[in-house]
Amino acid sequence: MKKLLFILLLVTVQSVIAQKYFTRNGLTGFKASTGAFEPVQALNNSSSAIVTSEGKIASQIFIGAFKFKVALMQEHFNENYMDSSTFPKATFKGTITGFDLKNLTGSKDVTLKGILTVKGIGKEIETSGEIYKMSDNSFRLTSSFIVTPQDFKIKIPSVVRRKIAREVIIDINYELKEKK
Amino acid sequence: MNLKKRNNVLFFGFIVLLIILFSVYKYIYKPPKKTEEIEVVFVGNTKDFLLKINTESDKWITKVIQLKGRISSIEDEGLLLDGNTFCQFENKSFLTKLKKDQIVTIKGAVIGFDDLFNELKLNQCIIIEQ
Repeated sequence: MKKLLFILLLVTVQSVIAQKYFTRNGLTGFKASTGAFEPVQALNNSSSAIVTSEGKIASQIFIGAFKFKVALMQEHFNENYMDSSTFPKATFKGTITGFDLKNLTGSKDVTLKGILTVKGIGKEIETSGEIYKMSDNSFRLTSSFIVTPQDFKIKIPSVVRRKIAREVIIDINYELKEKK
Repeated sequence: MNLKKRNNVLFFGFIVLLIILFSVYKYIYKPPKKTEEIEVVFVGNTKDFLLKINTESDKWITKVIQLKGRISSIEDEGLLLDGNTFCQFENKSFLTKLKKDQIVTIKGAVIGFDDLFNELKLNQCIIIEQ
C-alpha cells in the first residue's frame, strides 16, 4: 500500500514538473494543386497543440477551419471529401525526438514521429522538422510532410481527378508558449 | 436591312452569352462569406450550447452561432468565454477593447470541441454587443 502511494505521489510530482507548451492558433496548410488549374490549397489558423518538455506532442486540427479562397471549394472539401460534420477534426499524437528546449539556442532539426488520424483512419508519419527557440518559454515548430487521399480513403471523383494532386503537402507552423 | 437586323441579333446574343459566362464565373469563384453575412442558427449562452453540441455534435460544425458569456481570459488570438468556449478573432484589434469578467455577445463559426483544452472552439468571431 505504501509502495503504491509512493508511486502515485511520484507520478503526480512528475506530471507537475513536466512543463507543457501550447497553442490554440497553430497554422496548418495543405496544398494539392496541379499546375494548370485553380490552386487547391487552404490554410487553417485554428490548430491546437500541446507539447510536453519531454517532447510528447498532441495536436488537433479542425477540418471546418480550413479556409479556401473559393467558397465552393471550401464547401466541397467539408461536405464531399472530408465529411467534416462526422469527422470534425484530424489529430496527431506522437513525439518530437531530440526536443530539448532548455539547452537549445537558435534552432535545431528534429524528427516528428507519430500517428496522424484523419476521418477516423490512422497513418504513421515520420518526418523531419525544425524547432526554433523564440524565448525561454516559447518556440516555433515547423514541419512538412506528404500524405495521399487514399491513405484516409478519400475518394476523388474522376471529373476532378486531374485538378487535385495525388500527393498532398501538409505544412505546419506552430508557435507554442509555456502553459502557466 | 435584313443583314443589319441579323447582326443586331447576333450582337445581342453575344452580350447575353457574356453576361451568362460572367455570372457563372462569379458564382464559381465566389469567396467564402464573412461571419457578418451569415445567419445565426443558435442564440443563447455557452452552457446551453455545450449541452446541444454534446447530444447532436454533427449538426453544428461550420455553423454560425451567437453566444453571450463572461470573459474568463483574453489570449493572443481570441478570448475564453465562461471558461469553456474559446472564440478566435480575425480582427485582433477588438481584443484590446475588452476586459476580463466583462459580459459580451459574440458571433462566430463552430469548428469543434477541443479535447486538448476541454473547450468548445469558434473561429472568425466578431463582437455583437459589449
